[in-house]
Amino acid sequence: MAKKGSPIRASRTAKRQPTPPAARRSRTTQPSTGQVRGASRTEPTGKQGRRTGRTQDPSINQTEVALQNSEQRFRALLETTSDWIWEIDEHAVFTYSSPNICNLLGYEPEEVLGKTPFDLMPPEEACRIGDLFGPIAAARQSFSCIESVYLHKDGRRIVLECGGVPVFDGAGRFRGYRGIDRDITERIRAAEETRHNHSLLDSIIENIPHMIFVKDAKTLKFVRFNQAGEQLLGYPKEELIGKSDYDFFPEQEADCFTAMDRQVLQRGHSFDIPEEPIETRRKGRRLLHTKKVPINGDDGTPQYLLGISEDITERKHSERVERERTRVLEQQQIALCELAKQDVIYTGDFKEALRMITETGSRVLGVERTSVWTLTQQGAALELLDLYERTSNRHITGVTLAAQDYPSYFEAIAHEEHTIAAHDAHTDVRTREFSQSYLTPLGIGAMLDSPVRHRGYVVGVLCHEHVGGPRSWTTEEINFSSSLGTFMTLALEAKQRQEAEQALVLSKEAAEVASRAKSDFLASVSHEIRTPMNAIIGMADLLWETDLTPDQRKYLRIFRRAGGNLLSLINNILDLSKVEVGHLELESTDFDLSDLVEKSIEILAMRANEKGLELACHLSPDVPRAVIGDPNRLHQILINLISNAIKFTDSGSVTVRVMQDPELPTPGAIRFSISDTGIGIPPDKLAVIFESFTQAHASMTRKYGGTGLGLTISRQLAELMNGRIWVESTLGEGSRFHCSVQLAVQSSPTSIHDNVQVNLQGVRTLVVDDHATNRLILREILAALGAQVTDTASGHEAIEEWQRASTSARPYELLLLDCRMPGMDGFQVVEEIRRASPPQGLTIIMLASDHWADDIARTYDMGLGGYLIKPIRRSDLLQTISIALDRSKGTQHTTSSASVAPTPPTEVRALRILLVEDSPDNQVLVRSYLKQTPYRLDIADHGAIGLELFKKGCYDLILMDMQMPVMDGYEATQAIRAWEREQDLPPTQVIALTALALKEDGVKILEAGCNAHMTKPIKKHTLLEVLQACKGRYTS
Amino acid sequence: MTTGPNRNAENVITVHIDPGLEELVPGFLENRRGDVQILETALEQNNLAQIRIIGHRLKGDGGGYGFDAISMVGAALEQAAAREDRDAIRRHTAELDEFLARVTVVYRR
Repeated sequence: MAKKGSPIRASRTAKRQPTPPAARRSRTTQPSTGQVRGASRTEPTGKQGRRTGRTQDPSINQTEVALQNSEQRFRALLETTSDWIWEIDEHAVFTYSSPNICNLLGYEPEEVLGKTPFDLMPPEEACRIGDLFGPIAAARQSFSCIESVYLHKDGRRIVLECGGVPVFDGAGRFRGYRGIDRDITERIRAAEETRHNHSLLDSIIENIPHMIFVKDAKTLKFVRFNQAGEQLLGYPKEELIGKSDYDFFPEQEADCFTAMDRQVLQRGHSFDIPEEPIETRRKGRRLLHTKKVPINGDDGTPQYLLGISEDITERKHSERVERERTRVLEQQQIALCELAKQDVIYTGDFKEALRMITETGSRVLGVERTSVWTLTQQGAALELLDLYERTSNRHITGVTLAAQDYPSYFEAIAHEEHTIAAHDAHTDVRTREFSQSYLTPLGIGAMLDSPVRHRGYVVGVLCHEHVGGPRSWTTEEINFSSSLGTFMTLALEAKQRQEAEQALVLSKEAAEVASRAKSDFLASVSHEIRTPMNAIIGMADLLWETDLTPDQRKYLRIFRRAGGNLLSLINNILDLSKVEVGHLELESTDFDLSDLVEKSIEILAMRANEKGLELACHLSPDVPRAVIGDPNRLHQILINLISNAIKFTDSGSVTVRVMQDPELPTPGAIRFSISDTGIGIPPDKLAVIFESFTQAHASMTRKYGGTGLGLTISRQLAELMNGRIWVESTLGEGSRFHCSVQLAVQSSPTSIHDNVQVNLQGVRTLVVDDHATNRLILREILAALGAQVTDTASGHEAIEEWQRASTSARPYELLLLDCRMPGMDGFQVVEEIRRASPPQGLTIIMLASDHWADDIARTYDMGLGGYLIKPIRRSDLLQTISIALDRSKGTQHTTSSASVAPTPPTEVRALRILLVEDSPDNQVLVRSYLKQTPYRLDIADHGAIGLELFKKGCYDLILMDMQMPVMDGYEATQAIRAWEREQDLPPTQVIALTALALKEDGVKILEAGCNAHMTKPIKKHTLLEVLQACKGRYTS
Repeated sequence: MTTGPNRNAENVITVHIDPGLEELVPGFLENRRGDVQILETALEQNNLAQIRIIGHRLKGDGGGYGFDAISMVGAALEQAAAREDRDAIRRHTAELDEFLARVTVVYRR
C-alpha cells in the first residue's frame, strides 16, 4: 500500500547515467486530469515547475516561441522515447503519466492518475521502496537508477529503473517529483541469466577434477585457477592469481612451460601434452596430461591461454603395476607351459622332474631356495627330496624334519587346503617355529609353501623361501606355487605308473619264462610218458587174451579202462602243450572229407543210440570232397565236438552240418556246425569253456566226466587250420558249435568215393520219418539227384499220402520209411500198404533205428528193398537205393546176389560170437554160415553153459536161442544182463533166435534184455548182414 | 535109416540149396529121417511133449538149411502136439517121411 502523504525518499545508489536534463525539462503534465495528450504543451522545466502563462508581449512572443520550441522538442522526445515519464505530487499520487505506461505496465495513463506508485507494486516491494524513498523525499533529493518491481496490469512482474527530480512550485514549495522509468526487466533478466550462466560455468570449472587455469596471453600470469588446480599445486587461488610459473616451479621447469605456452599462442591451435612432470607443493612429483588452448579475442589475437591438466600419476602407476602383473603372469604361464612340455614329468624320471620343478619355482618366483619335501613315517616327518639354491645353482637332498619339533607347521600342512603364504615367516603362526633353527641362520624372511597331493591325500610340500625381509606374496605367486604343486602330483603319478609298469613287465617276463619252461618240459617229457603208457596198455591187452579167472578178468577190465582214460588224458595234455609251444604241425595229405565226417559219426553213433538220441549228418552238395589237410586232427576236432554234444544232451538230437563257409566264399573254406538239443551253456561261460580245464558247469565234471581240455585243443587246432571255433547256446534248449577251417582242394581228385551214380530223375519218392532233420537231409540228397520228394512225419500221414498218390497219375516208386516212429512204425506202414493195394514197382527201404538188428531182420523177413542204419551215410544211401531200384526193376546188380543190398565193406574186425543153441543141426548150420568169415564162434548147448562161457570169455555178440532145455534164452539173457550190471559192464549185444513169430513174444524177448531178434529159420545172408551191422557199431 | 531118395521123376521134389551147405545137407536129411522114427515112437508112447519139441526144432532148423517144407511140417507138428491131435501128428509125420523120400537137392545159388 502506498504510504499516502509520506515523503518520497530518493537514493543515490547506482551510477546510472541520468537522463539528459533537456529531455526532462521538456516534459509536460496535465494537472489533475491525468490525461496525456499526444500533442502536448511544452513546459519549461528546471525552473522548479513554475508555470508561466501566455502573454501578448513581444518579448513574451520570443519566450513563447522558445516555449513552443521547447515543447516541440519535448513532444518529440516523448514520442520517441520508450521510457515512461511521470509526475507525482507531494503525496506521491500520480498527477501525470506518459502514454508509455501502457507499454510498460499495461495501464492507460488515466488509470494510474490518483494512484501512487506503491499501488502498482507488489506489497513487499512497496514497503521496501517506501522505506527507501522516505529519506530521499524528506531531503527533497533527486534520485536515479532505483530499481523497483512493478506489477503489470496482467500480473507480471516488471522491473523498472527509475530516476526522478523533485518539483518545486514558484514559491519554492515542494510539489512532488517527476521522473522517468525504464523497463529494465529484460536487462535484469539478461543480467540474471548471465549471472546464472557465469555461476554455472564457474561451478563447472571449479568442480572439474582436472586442473584448469587461464593465463593472460601477454604476461602469462595466471588469471584464473580452479579448485582442482589449487589442490594439485597446493596453493590457494589467491596466491596464484597474478603470478606466473616462475613463482611456483623451478626455473628450468618454468622455462619449459613458458616456451610451450608461447608456442601454442603463436601457432594458434591447441596443443596436447600427453605427459609432463611437475613439482607440487604437497604432493611431490606428479604426472600431468595437459592440453593448452589459445583463446583469442574478438580481434583474433590471443588473449588468454587456457590450460587443462589431468593428473595421470595414479593411472600411470596403475598401468605400470598392471603391466608388471601381466608380465609376471605371462612369465609364470610360460614357465608352466614349458614345464608341461617336459617329458620327464610324465615318463617317471622322478629325479629329473624334481629338479625341473624346483628350478622353475625358484626362477619364476625369484626366490633363493625352492624345495620339495615328502611326508614319511605316517606323517611324522618331512624328508627333503630336492632343494634348489639359486645363487649357488646346486641341488641338495637328505634333510629330515620331525613333526614333533614343528607341530604347528605340520598341522598346517596336514589340514590347510591351500598354499601357506607366510609373508613374514618369523611371525606367521604356522612358520615361526622355524624361526630360530632355520629361518634366521639362512636369512629367510618369507615362505610360500604349497601342499603336494597324490591320490587325494597330502603327501608332501613344495616350499619357496625368500631370503631377505618379509615379502608380500601376490595372488598370482600363490597360484603359481599351487600349480607347481600340481606338477609335483603329475610327477608322482608318473613315477608310480612307471613303477607299476616295470613290475608288470617283470612279472610278465617271469610268467612267460615259467610258461615256456612248462611247455618245454611237457614237450620233452611226452616221449618219456608215452613209453611206459604203451607198456601198460600193451601188456594189459596181451593179458586180456590169456586165460583168466572171472575175478582176474574183472580187475583187468577196470585196469584196461583206466589205462585207456589215462592215455587219452595224457594225449590231450601233450597236444595242448605242443600247440602252445608251437610244436604241433599239421599234416598236408589228400583225404575225402565226406568219408572223414561219416566215419566220425559212425564211431559215435552207438553212444548216441545208447542215449536214445538222433544223430544226423548233412553234407552240403557244394562242399568239396577231395581235400588236402590233416585228417587226423580234423577228425579229432569233430569227435570232440560231436561227443560233447552227445555227452551234454539227454534227449533229442545231435545234428552235424557241413557246408561252405558263408563268410568266406573261397573253395576249401568249410564250416562244420554241430547242433544239439542239450542242456545248453550259460552266456557268461561261452568264452571260458575254451580255456584249459574249464567246463561250463562245475557240477558237469562230476556228472559228465571229461578233463576240459577237448575244446581248448580243438580251438587251437582250428586256428592252426586258419579257422576258428565258436559257440551259440541257449540255456536249457541246446547249443550250436561252429568250426570253420580252411582246407586246400585237390586239383585232380584221385579217388571219387562217390562212384555210385544214381539217377533218380523224376522218381516219385516218399520219405517218412518223425525227425524233421532226417527228413530234411534225405529230401535234400534225393532232390539233388533229381527225385521228386515228398515227406511226411508219421505213419498215418504216410498211408494217406500213399493212397492219394496211388490213385493219381504219379504214384510213389520209392519209399523210405523210418522203422521206429511213435504211433505207427515203419513196418506197420508197409503191412498196411500191402494190405490195401499190393504195390507194383515200389521199392521200400527201411531206416533202421537203434534196434537195428531187429529192424534188419524184419526187413529181410518182409522181403523189403533194403535198409539203412542211422546215421545214414550218403554213399550208403545212394548205393542201397541204387541196388534196391535195380532189383525192383529186375536188373541184377553185379556186385552181389544177396537178396538185400549189403553195406559196403569196411575194415573187418574179428567178432567173437557166442551161440547158445540146443539144436545140433542149427549149431552146425551157423558154424557153416560163418565158415568164410573171420568171426570166432563158440557154442553152448543151453543157457546155463552159455552164461558160464559168457562170464569167462569176452564176446561181442550172443546169438541166443530162446527155447532151450535146462535154461532157456529168457532166463539166460536176464542172468547175463544182471551180471553185466554187477560188473559195471556195458551190455553185450544179444540177438534172440526164435522160431516163434508172435508179437507178444517179441515184447517178451525185449523185456528179457535182448537187443533184437531173428526169426528162425535163419538165412545165411540175414545172419551175415546182422553181424556186419553189429560189427560196425563198436567203438574202437 | 530109410532108403535113399526115390529117383522116380514124377515123385521128385527139387529143392535148390546154396552150394555152401552141400556138406551139411546129407547129414541133416539123415537126421531128419531119424526124427521120423522118433516121432513114430513118441506117438506110440503118447509122448506128446517130445513130438512138440521135435516139431519146434524142425520148424526152426528146416528153413535154415533150405528146406522150408520141413519147417512147415515142424510147425504143424508142434501145433498138433499142443492140440493133442494124434491124427494130425500121424498125418504130418507121414508127410515128412514122404518128403524126405522124394526130395532131390540141386546145389546152386
